[in-house]
Order: sequence, then structure tokens, then C-alpha cells
Amino acid sequence: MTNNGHLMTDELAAYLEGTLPSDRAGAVEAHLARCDHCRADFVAARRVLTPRPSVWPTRLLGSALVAALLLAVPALWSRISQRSAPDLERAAPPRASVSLMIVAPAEGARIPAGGVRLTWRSAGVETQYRITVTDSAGGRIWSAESADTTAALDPALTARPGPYYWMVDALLPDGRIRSSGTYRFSTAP
Amino acid sequence: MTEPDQPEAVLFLTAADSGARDAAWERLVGAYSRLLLSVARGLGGGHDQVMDRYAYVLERLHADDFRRIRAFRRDGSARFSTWLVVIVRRLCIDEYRARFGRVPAASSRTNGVDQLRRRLELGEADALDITSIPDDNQRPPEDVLDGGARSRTLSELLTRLPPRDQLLLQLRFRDGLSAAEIAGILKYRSSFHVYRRVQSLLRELKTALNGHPLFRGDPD
Repeated sequence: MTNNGHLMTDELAAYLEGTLPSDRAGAVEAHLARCDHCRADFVAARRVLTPRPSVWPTRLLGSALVAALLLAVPALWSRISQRSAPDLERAAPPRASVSLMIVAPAEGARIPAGGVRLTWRSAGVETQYRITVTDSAGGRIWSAESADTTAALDPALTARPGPYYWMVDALLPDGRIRSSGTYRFSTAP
Repeated sequence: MTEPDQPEAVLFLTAADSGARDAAWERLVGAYSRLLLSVARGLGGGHDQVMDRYAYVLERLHADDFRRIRAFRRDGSARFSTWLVVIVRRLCIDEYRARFGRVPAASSRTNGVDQLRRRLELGEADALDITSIPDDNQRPPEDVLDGGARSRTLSELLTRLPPRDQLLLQLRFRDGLSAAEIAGILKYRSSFHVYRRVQSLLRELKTALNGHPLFRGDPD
């Protein structure tokens, strides 16, 4: 206890971690029950330290759906590529509904195999991003989570020429998710 | 011994002198800025207000050759990040007080015991929304007087509960937190476990209150 009658920082931190012996934990709980200030500190700290309910299980379902769609993409692409330009424009995915902006590689970009750097626009501070790269068969070749808005791919991953697909999901601080949609790029040796 | 959870913290905390600490400071801020901002946002306000608070926290942490951070004991029982959250939260409160002169109330409910007592009088259905409990101002004066005596007795009864249960009831009835949030805060397995514990405590308190010499024979 500090000399102003509140819990010491060390004490409250240890209680938050659950490392206090039971007698001291009981004393801290008794204090928290009667001290509004310390209880507010405790609740606020717990809110910051406790991860939000995970949304990844839902997202895994989404990823499975994306993978299934990606399996169908090569066949669809060959059909779309035979159409005229206006048809292609109409068939393009509705980019207006995509809320996370991709910077590079853009849709259909061709880049050297060793230099793939994925870049997207920030969705705001304290946003976590999940980046997924798949091959043309829909198999995930790389996935990562980052707070950054750029990620460099290991050259070995895209050494084989061919189309690849990538997407970014932004996990916003309020738990919502914004997705970039799927983008295609190909690498050249 | 609990090690700090980021290499940047180890680097900072093991810095030999003021110069080394200054050199490690930028990396420390980089590693923990998201956490610091989360705490700063906890007191509300717009972007500018949060950034002002964040700047204040950095300034205070840097002051007196990082006196506050150097107070962290590496042989203590908390990780550096947890400890930092607590100290930053308190700095944010200082900043809030300096700016507004008061701390935002944890809850608009001024008396948790009254809330709890009225809940007991109305029955134990915890599913009942706490905001639907009638205000004492709308009750006859004799009921209010009696309510005051019951609240005082209830306060005494509450102090006899285990501290964890006291804390649970305060979070529920004074702070108005949802069962789901309390489950996360007090590490109950689910909100249902919170409901069950609250129901059980309410039954216990009601029995004790009605059996109290002052109120024995009172209708519920």
C-alpha cells in the first residue's frame, strides 16, 4: 500500500499477473472492493492487457472460403481474359466495396521474383494486419501478422514463376475487420 | 524472477548509465508505443487529447533520468509490460486531473450498496437490467428510511464476504460492468459462472439480511 492509501504499482501489477501469494491477493481484492480509484486502474489495465475475443476462428472460415475461391480463379481467369476490354471491366471485382487499400503489387502486376514487397494503406493506429499469400492452386505459402503496413516476402517463396494471390485483413481496435480483397501478381525470374 | 517481455525493455533496464538509457529510450518507446496509446485511449477524448496525454506520459517517464521506469524491479513478480500499463494508467490520471481537475467517474451509480439492496428487494433475477431498478427519490419517505437502514446492514454483511466476492459485487453493482466483462476481468471461465456466483451471493445476502435482528419478519 502506498502512503496515499492506494495499491503500489508493483502490487497491482503482480495481482494482474496472478503471481501474488493468496494472502496478499486477498488483501489486494479487499482493497479493490472498497477503493474506486484502484479498482478503476485495475479494470482499465485488465482491459488493455486482455486480448479482445479472438475473431480468428471466424476468419479461418473466411480464409477457407477465400482458398476455395482461389482454386476457381485460374479457370475463371482464363475465361475472363478471352473477353473484350469492356466485358473485363464489368467482370472486375467491385473495388469500391473493398475498404482496405492496396498499394503494391497492384492487381496483375509482374515483378522480379526476388523483390516482392507487399504494401498497403494504413487503416488507422493500433490496427493489426494479417497478410496471406497463396499460390495459384490456393495453397497458402505465407501468412503473417504485423502492425506494419508493408512486408517483404522471402525470395524463395516466389522463386517459381507463376501467379500468386495476396490479401490483407485489418483487425481494427474495435474488433471489426476490413479486408483488401484478393490481388493477383506474378513473378518473373 | 519475471523477465521483461521485450528485448528493448531488457536493453533499457540493464543500461549502465544515463547515456545508455537515453540511447535505449527510443527503442523502448517504439516497442511499447501501441500499449501506451491503448492506455492513453482508456480515458477517452479525441485524437488530439489522446496524443497530448501520450506526450505527457512520455515526458513523465523520461523525467529525472527515467526515475519511474528505473523503479521497476526485475526480480519482482510482474512482467515489465503489465507494470508499465499500471504506471502509465496512473500518469494518464494525473494528466486528466491536471487538465480537468477531476477524474471521470468509474460509474454514474453513486452507491453500489443501495443498488444491491434494491436488487435484493426486487428479487434475485440477475437478468433484470440494473437500470430498471426504481430510484429511491420516487419512493415514500418511510421506505427510504428503512432502505437506508437495510443498506447499512447490507454494508456490514458485505464486509464478511470473501474479498473476491466483494470485488465481484462491486464490479457488478457499483461499476455496472456486464457479466461477460467481469468474467474477463476476474478470470471466471464464462459469464455464466459470473451469473451463478452473483445469484448465489444474492441468495446468501438476502437470507442474512432477512434473518438480521433489525429486519426479522419484514416482508421481502
